[in-house]
Amino acid sequence: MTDAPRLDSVAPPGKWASMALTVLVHVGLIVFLLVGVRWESHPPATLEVALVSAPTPVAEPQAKPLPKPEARPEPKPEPKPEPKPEPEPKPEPKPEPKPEPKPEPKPDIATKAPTPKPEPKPEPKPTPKPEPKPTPKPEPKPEPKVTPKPEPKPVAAARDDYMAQRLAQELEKAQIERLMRDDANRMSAAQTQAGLHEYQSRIAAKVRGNLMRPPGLEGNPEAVFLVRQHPDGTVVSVTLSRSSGIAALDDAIDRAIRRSSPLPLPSGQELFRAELELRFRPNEE
Amino acid sequence: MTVTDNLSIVHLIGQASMLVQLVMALLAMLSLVSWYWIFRKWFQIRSAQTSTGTFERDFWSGADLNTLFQSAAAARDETGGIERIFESGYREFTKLRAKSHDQSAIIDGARRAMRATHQREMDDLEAHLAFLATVGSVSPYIGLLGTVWGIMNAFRGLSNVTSATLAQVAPGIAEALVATAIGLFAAIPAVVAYNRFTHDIDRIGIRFDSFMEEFSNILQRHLR
Repeated sequence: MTDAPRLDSVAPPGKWASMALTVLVHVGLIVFLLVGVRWESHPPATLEVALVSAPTPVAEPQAKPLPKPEARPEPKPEPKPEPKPEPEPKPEPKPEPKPEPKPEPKPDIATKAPTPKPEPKPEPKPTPKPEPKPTPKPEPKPEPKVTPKPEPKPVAAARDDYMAQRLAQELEKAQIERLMRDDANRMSAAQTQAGLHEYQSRIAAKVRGNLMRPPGLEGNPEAVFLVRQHPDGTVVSVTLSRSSGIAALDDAIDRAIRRSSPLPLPSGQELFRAELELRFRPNEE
Repeated sequence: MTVTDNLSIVHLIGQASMLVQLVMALLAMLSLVSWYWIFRKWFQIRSAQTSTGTFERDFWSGADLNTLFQSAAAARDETGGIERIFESGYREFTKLRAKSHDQSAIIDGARRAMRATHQREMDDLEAHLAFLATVGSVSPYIGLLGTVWGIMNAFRGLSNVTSATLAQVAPGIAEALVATAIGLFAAIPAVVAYNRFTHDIDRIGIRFDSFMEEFSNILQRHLR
């Protein structure tokens, strides 16, 4: 028998218990993060309905690729990020008016979401760089002089040396690819959201029908209302979340929403939203 | 198809760059290990406190030193630190008393034996506390490193874009900030536990110390 207490022989208190508790704490945290926290999932909770005074939008959902009246209502009903892409079309000085701007912002966002970051970067890079090269040729001489004109590209490619041709081809291919990708994106989105669009436009149509616009409206102020409804479509509450700046207009919209109280119901139960976000713009310029 | 739809935590982690993911994995590991030691230490300190309390009650209720010693020696693996201190001191005391008649030598020997056991007990209680302190102080920095790296990447992605919008940087920054969040999650409990445990261990050490002094007095009275 030795004097020294043998600490090693002392059973470590609660070794397995601590392991189990540790795992429990982390599993609990992960579950909380996955289930308990709503990560920016407002889009399903609220549905944005654009109440634009133009009478056409009722036909929106079916005819997507149509040019003007369509393109406008479309972006709005789409959840939140839509306002962001909108500013982007401006910097695009490309020939095509509508279809062009859309491909631009979309690949950025779409690729960012499903694929890692590096993807979008390499894509745009090849296109801007080759551009200056093929363009110089078309102008007066085959000499490499910089004139940023995107139009004469095909001519130059056909006429000029191999490199320029290749570059032009690649550019074209990239553009087509981009367009196709964008198209595919839009198609799938359209399919999933077709029902939603229809629902939105029916609500918009009904509210618009009940709206009496106050006289003397100027400018294009936007008003945003939050509407809560019962599952049967009855309006529970209407709250003004962003005023148009004109009290009379706000009141008129408020009344119109209340008057259309049993709001139309969606075709599928899963499309129903207890909270709606209604945006109104008097003029659809 | 929208940015916001994909901002779930799983997506944020999955989209992060390699280094950020490594940082997150490291931090997750640190968090696991530190929580493990938090619970281990917690159980250990709690049992040390209760066993010290019971032994002090037994000791001061006037029990016979020999019976106390026998019960402590019989169950030395299940007893607490204070009982082991008592046992080693009393054992040394009985041995020395049989051999020498120098009172102060006997008391000194018993005290030295108790001091040695006391130090071993304290060392055992304080083991792995340094790990908690390290996790508490370092893991925020590790998380920050991941965040800074992620934000650098997010901004670098803007260099080729003509018109920079918030939507292009926001996901990158969000996923980078996850690293800081994990770092803080690992650090905060570790710091709290470290402070709590050092305080508790200090108090237990004081109880051990005062018991040793009082027990030496008792032994000295025994000699006369």
